[in-house]
This record gives sequence, structure tokens and C-alpha cells, in this order.
Amino acid sequence: MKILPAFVTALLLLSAAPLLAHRVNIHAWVEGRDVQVRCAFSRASPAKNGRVTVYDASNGQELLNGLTDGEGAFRFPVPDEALKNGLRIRINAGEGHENQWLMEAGEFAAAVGAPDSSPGMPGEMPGQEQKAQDADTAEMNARPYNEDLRRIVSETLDAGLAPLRRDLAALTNPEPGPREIVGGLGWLVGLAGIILYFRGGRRP
Amino acid sequence: MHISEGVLSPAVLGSGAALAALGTAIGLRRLDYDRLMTVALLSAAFFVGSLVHIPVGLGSVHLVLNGLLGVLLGWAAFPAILAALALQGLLFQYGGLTVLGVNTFNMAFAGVLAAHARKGIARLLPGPGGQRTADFCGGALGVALAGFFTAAALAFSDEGFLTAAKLLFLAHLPVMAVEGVITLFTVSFIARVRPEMLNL
Repeated sequence: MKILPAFVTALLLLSAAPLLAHRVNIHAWVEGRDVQVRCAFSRASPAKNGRVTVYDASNGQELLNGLTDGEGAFRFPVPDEALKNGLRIRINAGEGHENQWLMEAGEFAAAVGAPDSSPGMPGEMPGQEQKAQDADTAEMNARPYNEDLRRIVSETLDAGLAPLRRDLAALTNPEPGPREIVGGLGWLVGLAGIILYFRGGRRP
Repeated sequence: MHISEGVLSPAVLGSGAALAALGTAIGLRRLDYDRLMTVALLSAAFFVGSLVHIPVGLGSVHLVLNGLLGVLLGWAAFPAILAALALQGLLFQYGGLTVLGVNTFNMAFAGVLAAHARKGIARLLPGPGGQRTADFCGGALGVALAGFFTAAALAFSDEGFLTAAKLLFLAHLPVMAVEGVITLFTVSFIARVRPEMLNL
């Protein structure tokens, strides 16, 4: 007979659902050559295993999708379309909780110059690149150095900006504070008061 | 329970808005305007209720209170919940204005049905024990039915009815228990101090 309470307790623990919050927040930024997406219900509970879908912002075409990890994060390389049209990133956390984040084309300007392991120097003039491939030895020597420097600067910058980005994400998705709550209560009482005023005016 | 913007199809949004408008019209017609302040107070309780988090296991859930509103207000729960949800949408960005109709209908109609169920149970089981059971069921059923309607609305999106319904039901079991108890105590308290409030 003790099975039933144990079962109910287990059920309650299993249903311990951060998925129950009112809405899901999404925040995305460019980090190096990737876009970093973070999804959370509130500061304390990340949106795990949410479906992130990335669209071309101008024509709505789906570019890629994937699931968020245990920390509500999802990372993907900047698609070519982003540079021209920008991106619309959508999170579906289930139970009707969805939200989206818009990134304009301008935000990806930094990603073009960011270090990359692929051959060819991004962000340089095509002519120059051609010259480099023509085996100009001096440039060949300078290139790894530039590349390293860029990577180091970019990594340091990303690390230093991380707390700022978190704060920014929290600011863009504020939790309701006393101002909103008291304001809402005032509205409700005020609405009732207005209705009573007009009803009372009609009565003899 | 708050369905976000852009999840539902226009057809679902439209029928939700129409049903919510109908319910609100019935609620306003039947409303005794001497009791308007009660409606406003309960609307305020609903508005704040979703900010009250109950820690359960690893996460937390929030109150809905639609069963309590249904039991105490009857059809007047529609305008009360509509106003509260509109303010939650505007001030907290919960839900949204296009889904306001669907969300209002899901929670308010569930509350109205729960109120009827409470009366039915109270008739079946006379006596104070039966009355308490009925009050508890009124609060718990409000949440359960709201989950059912929410899942039904989501059935037309890509999530599918069964998955959504199962998740919503499991996740809201603790809320159902807590709201059953809240409704039980609130109703028995009002029955003692202001019994005329319950005669709707």
C-alpha cells in the first residue's frame, strides 16, 4: 500500500518542470565566426532540448535547425545568407512556448573578419588573396602571425564581453518587478472603478 | 499555460477569440454590478497568481487559479480572466495579444466547467465532507481542464495533442493539488463569513 504514495512522489519529482514557466526567452550574438544562441525560461532555468530554427530574415527560408544543450545553448556557424539579409532565430520549447530573436545583417560584419580555419584570408581584398596564393614568401610568413593575433584578440574580447552579454540578455528579457505588478493591480481596480462610475451615473 | 504568439494557426486564433468574446458577453450580461469589486479583486488574484512559484522537485510551477475564479464568479470569470491576461501580456510579456482569445477561453471556460462539476459533486455527496471534496475538485479540475484545452489548441500546431496533453497534465499535477486546497479553504472561509457571495 506504500507503493501509491511513492509513485505519486516520483511522479511529482519527474514532473519538476522548468518547462512550466510563462514564456521562453531567447538571446543570440555573434562569437567569432559562430552565432551563439541562449534560451531560458528564467535566469535560473535554461530551456533544454528546445528546437532552434534559423531562418533568412528577408525571405523566411529555413536555413538550419538543431536542439539546445543542457544549458539552453545552441551554436552554429554564420550562414552566408546572414551577411546579406540577417537572421530570424526561433526557439520552440514545447507546450506552446515559442519566441524569436532578430539579427540584422550588420551584426555579422565582425564575423567576416574573424579568424577561421578554412583556407584563404577572409576580410581581405580578393586581389590580395590571389597574390598570397601566388607564393609571395614575405606575405606567407606574415599570415600565420596575423591569423594568430586576430584569434587571440577575438578570444580575449569574447571572454571579456561574456558577462556583459549575459547582463544584456537579462535586460532584454526582464522578469516582472514590483512596478509591473503594482501597475497591473492598479489597472484592474481602476477599470472596475470606471465601470462602476458609469453604471452609477445611470442609476436613479 | 500561456501559449505564445506565432504558435497557433489563424483559424485557431480566430475561433478562440470568438469563443472568448462570447463567454465575456455572457459573463458581463449575467454580472450583478454590485459584485463588480469582487470580480476585480479575483481578477487581481489571477493576475498575481502566475507570479507565485511553488517549488516542486528540481523546478517550480506557478498558480493558475482559474478553478477558484470559476467557482466564485461563474461566467464572470471570463471578463476577469480576460482583463488579467491582457495585463499580463502587456506588462509581463506572457502570452500575447493575438493569442489572448485562445488563452482566455482555455482558462475561463475550464473554470466555468469546474464550477459546474463542483455543484454536481456537492449534490452527489451531501454533508460537509462532500462539500469539501467538491470544493477541492473545483480548484483541481480548473487546472486540469485548462491543460486539456491548451493541449487541444496545440493539437493543430506541429506538437500534437497527446504529447502536449501528457506533458501539461504531468507538470500540473502539483498545481492541481495546491489549487484544490486553496479553493477548498477559500470557499469554506467565504461560506462562513460572507455566504451570500457564493449564491450565484
